Amino acid sequence: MSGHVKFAAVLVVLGLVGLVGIFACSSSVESWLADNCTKGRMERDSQGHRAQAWSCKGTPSKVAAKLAKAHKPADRRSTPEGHFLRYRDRMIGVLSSSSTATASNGTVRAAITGGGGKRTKVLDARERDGYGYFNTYVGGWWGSYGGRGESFRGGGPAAGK
Amino acid sequence: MTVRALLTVALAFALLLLAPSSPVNAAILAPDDATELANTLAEASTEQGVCYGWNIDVSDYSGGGEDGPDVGSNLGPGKPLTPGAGGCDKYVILTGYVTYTSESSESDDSSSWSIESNLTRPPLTSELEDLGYGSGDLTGDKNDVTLINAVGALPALVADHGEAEALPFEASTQPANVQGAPTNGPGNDFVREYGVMLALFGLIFAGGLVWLAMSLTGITKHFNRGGSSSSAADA
Repeated sequence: MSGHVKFAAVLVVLGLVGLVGIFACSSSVESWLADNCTKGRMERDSQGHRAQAWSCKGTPSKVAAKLAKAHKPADRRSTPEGHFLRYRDRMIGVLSSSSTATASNGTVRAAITGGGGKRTKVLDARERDGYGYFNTYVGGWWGSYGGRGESFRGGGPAAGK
Repeated sequence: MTVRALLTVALAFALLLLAPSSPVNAAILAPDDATELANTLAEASTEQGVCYGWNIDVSDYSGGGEDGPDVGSNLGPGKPLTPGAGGCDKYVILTGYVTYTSESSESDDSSSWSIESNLTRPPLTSELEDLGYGSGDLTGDKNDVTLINAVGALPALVADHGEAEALPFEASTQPANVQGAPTNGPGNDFVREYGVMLALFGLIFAGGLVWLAMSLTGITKHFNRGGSSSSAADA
């Protein structure tokens, strides 16, 4: 076998191993949550938007950072209430561990139960549900916003300044 | 008063109305964004008993942008937070600078930030970086988004450190027609995460296949012969 054939064979094997490795090692956001968190119940807001709840160990910022490192989001948003990550077909809310209750003004509020946020609640929703569920925080950032014009910030990962 | 004088006064008045009303926040944040961020911080400050602010000094030597500090706090847009003053016993301020160099300068644009705080366990800039917000992004096209996110994350980090209570998440109760809809759908997650590696190994694999085909069909030998014969001719 000539040197050329050997070199070409090495390139083919190296490329093939790399490609197979990429496909073999890749995982979804859902599988990351399944590996690192405990699955909770399916939650619904007052408009019927659904989100799967997960309970994860660690503070919201640490959990959001780990998830974003494992699966790079297309867009992200941080607010005092929590962190939000956007993927192709889903939106993730990373919040302090909490339970929801209806406040006097009619909004659904989450009452804090974990002092210092040692436990984190992750809400995993399909894109449309997530945009509705997290609308207070991502509305106008990742889509149109009926309350303040069609595109308040022209939001979305493809949008510029 | 002549008609000409009246027209001059009217024109001056119109120009006054068209002039930007809040140049203080024009350096990075648009006035509306600065107001929204300040309102968010005001809510967080009320709930947590911690004052929050930002102060980014922008120096633009390129001549194309806007100079000056971008300042704001829970007290309002354009209102700096003075440590210890205004009932702020506890405070967290994101301070930094952005320098845009001139076209003729050999230096690149630069930016940096730090966190001023009197909390025992204040938020760290490394935590902002872990969340995906680096000071280097302040020189980018989306520097306003970076600043809003970084400052917005401060109360959440303070709560994470146990320095104050976490703020409650409020699910939206707005009707769907007011909420709008997601736009600018992101591309494929797999390609975004592994696109570079995929292209690299794909190229290696394809290159290897082409090389292998050329070797087996004897094309490389042909090239080698051509190369050695021309070398001999050169000699």
